[in-house]
Amino acid sequence: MPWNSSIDQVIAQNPAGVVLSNGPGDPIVCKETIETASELIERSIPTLGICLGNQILALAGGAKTHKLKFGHRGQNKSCRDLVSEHTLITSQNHGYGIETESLDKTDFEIWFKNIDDQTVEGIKHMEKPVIAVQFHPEASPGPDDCLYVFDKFKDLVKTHKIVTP
Amino acid sequence: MKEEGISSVLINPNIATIQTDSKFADKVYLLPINRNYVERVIEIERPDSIMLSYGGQTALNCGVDLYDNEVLRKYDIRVLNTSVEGIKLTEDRQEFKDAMVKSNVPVLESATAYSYEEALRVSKEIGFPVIIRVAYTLGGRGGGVAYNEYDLQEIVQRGLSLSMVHQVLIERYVGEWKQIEYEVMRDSVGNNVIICNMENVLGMKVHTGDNIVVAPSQTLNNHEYHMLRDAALRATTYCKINGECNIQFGLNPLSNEYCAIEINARLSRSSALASKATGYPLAYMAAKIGLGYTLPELVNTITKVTSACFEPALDYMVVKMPRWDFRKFELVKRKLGSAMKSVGEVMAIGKNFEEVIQKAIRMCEIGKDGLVANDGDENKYDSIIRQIENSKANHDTSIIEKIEYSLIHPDDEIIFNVAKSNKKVGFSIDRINKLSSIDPWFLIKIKNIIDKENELKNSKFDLHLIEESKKLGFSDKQVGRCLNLQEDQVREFRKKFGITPVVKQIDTLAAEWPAKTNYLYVTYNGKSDDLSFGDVKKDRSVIVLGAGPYRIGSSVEFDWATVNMVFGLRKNGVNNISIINCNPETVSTDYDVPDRLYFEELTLERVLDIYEKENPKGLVACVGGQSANNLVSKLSNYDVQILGTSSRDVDNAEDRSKFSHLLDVLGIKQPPWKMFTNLAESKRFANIEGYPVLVRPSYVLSGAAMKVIWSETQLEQFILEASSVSPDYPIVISKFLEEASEVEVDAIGGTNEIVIGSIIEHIDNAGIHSGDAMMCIPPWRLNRETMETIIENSVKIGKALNVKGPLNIQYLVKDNEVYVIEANVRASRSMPFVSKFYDLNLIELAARSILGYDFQTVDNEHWLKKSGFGIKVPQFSFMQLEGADIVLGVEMQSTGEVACFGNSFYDALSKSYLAAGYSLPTAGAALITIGGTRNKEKLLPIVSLISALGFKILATEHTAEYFKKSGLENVELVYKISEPERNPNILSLLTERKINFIVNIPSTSTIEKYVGMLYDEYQIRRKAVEMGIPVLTTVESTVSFVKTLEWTKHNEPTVRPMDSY
Repeated sequence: MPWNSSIDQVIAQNPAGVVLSNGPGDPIVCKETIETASELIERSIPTLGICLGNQILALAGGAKTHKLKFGHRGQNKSCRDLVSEHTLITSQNHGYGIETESLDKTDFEIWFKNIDDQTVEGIKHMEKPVIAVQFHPEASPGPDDCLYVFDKFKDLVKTHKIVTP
Repeated sequence: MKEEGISSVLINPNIATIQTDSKFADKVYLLPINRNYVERVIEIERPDSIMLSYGGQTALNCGVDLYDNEVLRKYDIRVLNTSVEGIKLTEDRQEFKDAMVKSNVPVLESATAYSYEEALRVSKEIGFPVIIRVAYTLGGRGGGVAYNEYDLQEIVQRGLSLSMVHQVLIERYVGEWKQIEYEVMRDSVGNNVIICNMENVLGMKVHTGDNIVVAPSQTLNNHEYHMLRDAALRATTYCKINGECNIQFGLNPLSNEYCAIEINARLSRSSALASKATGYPLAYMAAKIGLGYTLPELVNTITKVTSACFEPALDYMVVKMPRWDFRKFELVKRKLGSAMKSVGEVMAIGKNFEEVIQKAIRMCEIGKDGLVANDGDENKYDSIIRQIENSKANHDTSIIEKIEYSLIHPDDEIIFNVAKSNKKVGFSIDRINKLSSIDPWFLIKIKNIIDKENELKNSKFDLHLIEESKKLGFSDKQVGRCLNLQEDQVREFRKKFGITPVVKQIDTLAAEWPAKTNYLYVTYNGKSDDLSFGDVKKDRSVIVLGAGPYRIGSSVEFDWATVNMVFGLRKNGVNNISIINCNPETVSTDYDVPDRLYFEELTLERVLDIYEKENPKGLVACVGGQSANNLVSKLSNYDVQILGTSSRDVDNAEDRSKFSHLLDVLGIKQPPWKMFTNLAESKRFANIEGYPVLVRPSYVLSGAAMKVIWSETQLEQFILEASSVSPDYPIVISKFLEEASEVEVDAIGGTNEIVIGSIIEHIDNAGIHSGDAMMCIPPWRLNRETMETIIENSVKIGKALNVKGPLNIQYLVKDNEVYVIEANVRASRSMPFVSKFYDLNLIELAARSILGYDFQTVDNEHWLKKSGFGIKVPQFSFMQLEGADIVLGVEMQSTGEVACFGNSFYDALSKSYLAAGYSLPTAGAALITIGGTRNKEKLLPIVSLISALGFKILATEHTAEYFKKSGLENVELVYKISEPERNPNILSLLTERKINFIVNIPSTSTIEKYVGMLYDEYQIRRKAVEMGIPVLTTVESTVSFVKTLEWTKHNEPTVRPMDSY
């Protein structure tokens, strides 16, 4: 769907879950997407953000984003899954990121971290079925280490049936 | 380990490696790596843990043996890194297959067979072609590839008869597939990453050790790359790898079908290459993981800020080329296949395949300046073209078939054959690909080089074209050859027009993070240097030249010397040192050794490029073996400041006439010699001096060899064969002294003094190359007077040559007369041996001398006061070289060496024998075949000793008769291999392991292999090598071996650290 689709347009598709996809660009300019994302969170719709989608969800949750000093580009970026404590190799291509401290006041917690510059590489909502990663778990090109992000999303979709009002 | 404050004990009998210097491990034991000796060390040292993954297959096998025999449990020793259970999963064929199946990683179908019928049934199930491996014959002998039933019958029948258990393994053959390797790092909590992947240009046909390897892989797409990466991670996770491992895959180029070939649960030759290719210190990281760190806890040693849990990015590519030395071996088969035959390798770094393959070819030092435009190419190619034209006219297809065969069955010339078949025969890329299974991507790159050569040849001074060819790796020599110019003219011309290379850094992450790294390469594919040479020039540097690829005659000892020179210079206040070397197997190419490492060619052109960038104080060329030494005179033509002995004095030592004249002036004896340009004169000389004579070309062209000549007919034949004897290429003939002993001196020259490291005595008589001879320090047979003469002569020669730095002089001693053979004004093969035995680092002294400092009083007779003995024994690789004969001669054939120390001569020798892979039998039978009555007489007392030690004496007719007549009992008659119908036959006794060692001495006049080399004797020696049975081929080696057996009957060899002797 177009980047500026409204929540009503999304709901009209009768989705089991929603994926907010990648960029490029500065997430702040995507005002309409951020608004829609806020509604997705609010309405507990299973949502997966990837790359720009990760930043959009963070902004929707009240966090801030900024331009990184060195963008992350390549298929060899090491990220740590703070839940499993495993370090995985991911495919990345982003110049913007979530400001770590700004997450403190939100309902999101950090899921993945880049082990070289400690920037946020993924977030998880503490209550809602909303997850997001800054890297590309679909990995084309790139390693398949984080395909399990999709399994996690699939679980969320299964366990959170959307009740259409 | 040192960083962690953990003390270490190293067991390794390799005397020449820097590893066994006292600087690294806390204690070093120079001992055989086997269960018995390792257990004895464990008993003394009581270590907490053991590391098995750093000493190759030898250490791994020994570790499994220690585990299986409960030694590790008995002493409560932990195995760090991958556990023995994990190692076994990767080592045992069946367990490996099962583990792969459980990891969801495919393996090739295979099955064992005990008869031809069974083999046929299995092969039909698997489907032709199949590869047949013979169980329990080492070295891959007897196996082969069968494309049909006819092949199968021949190979299986031969294989079954060769196998000790009458078993063959039949496996699906995938020679046309790609061979891809991944290097995996994995920690104890399950983090795992791929450090490097590598692609074998010759695919599955050729063992990776003999393959041309590129890193990273060049022809895999994203899907293929990650399919194999995922499989590598699954397989290593299942085997619970801890630390580092290498996994090899076969990949069908026409589909996504793949299979795992093997896992090496240890650091391997491939891991060393991967370390150098990426700048990721695999062994260092693996050690840290073995000690309990997790990967994310470790820091990237290059960036110092990013994590070691990452996958390096390469903004360059590397190619590894093997170095073979087939020319040194007669009868050896040069075909490449599943058994590794190379003796060394080089690695070239650059920005494109064309550049790196041409660099790598030059680095191999095989007389080639690149892939094309080599000296003599045109004549060779023209003759091929003529042959082809003739054959076309005669409707004869044999030439084309021959070329096709050379592409289907690669040998050491494969890369040149590919170029030739495209360039001169006109084979298309498609056709070459079909024949050779080399991916078209590589073939297109090779064609690019050929096309550029043609463009150059058809051009006049075209700046743009010259620049383009430099970018494709053409050397100035190649460019010059295409343009009819000299190398120096091309250099001058291109520098005038600003065509110069740049220096690039290897930083493991393709400049994504700010990284200061001193790991460098030189390329024409770049705009600017990655580092600023301003600072380098301010605090002027010293450049040290390394030794290039390991090869026969130049090996790990020069790595030892290079590293010690760097340490020595630093110890004496030089804080800015660069190394140039291109051998990925060395410590001198570890980037933490020098201040700057140039992983580069040791050619005149490249050394000058670097010299001009650095503008150093000077350059050290005396530790890089003969190849570095050979550059001295050329470099001094370009006003390069040589530190150490001057180029004029190096020339005085190297040039036979000048050196001979010097000896005459000094009044020092030498065997009579003369240089010849025609046959008649040489015959006259040989007749006057008397045969045997030693003949050698004065310019050692590739392949031309030294030879001992016993008769006029032989001399004629030799000169006829060396057809290029002419005023330009004269030969040198010298009197060969029979039954002389050979002695060497290692010394260091200083401002006004010559320090003697030691006199070294060869155990074998002269006639065996010094690299192949067993040696003893201090000398144990020489009398005091002879030793004094030798010392006196050495000091005289050293002073006359104004030696500043290392000096090695070789002498012959006969009837207490001392003759000089040659002097080398450079580090020698024996210097690590001498330095370690006397605990006096000769190269460190050389560093002082080179810098103009004096030696702080070294006692010149220190080596005489030492008690105990050190004995160095060569290590041969005949087993791996199918067909090679093992009788030694004046050409060196060994590929390594060991040394052990002892309280007595036999204490040291017994351990050295074991360390070099000899077994020391205590009972059984000895096969004795001796040529010539004189040798029989000489050996009679020793044969009596063998008999007295309780061994049965087996001998063929003449020898048996002689011994019986001489009153020996216990002699049994056996029959030759060439008389298979007569029993007991030597062949069956060998295969039944009823012979424990062999004395096989050709008669004196047939010492040289060509002359009357009896096929039967060759067969005995060859078979014995394959069975791991000791074979003694000289009188002296027999005496020392048998006396060692006698000694071990009553004595236990000592086990003590290196520095306690």
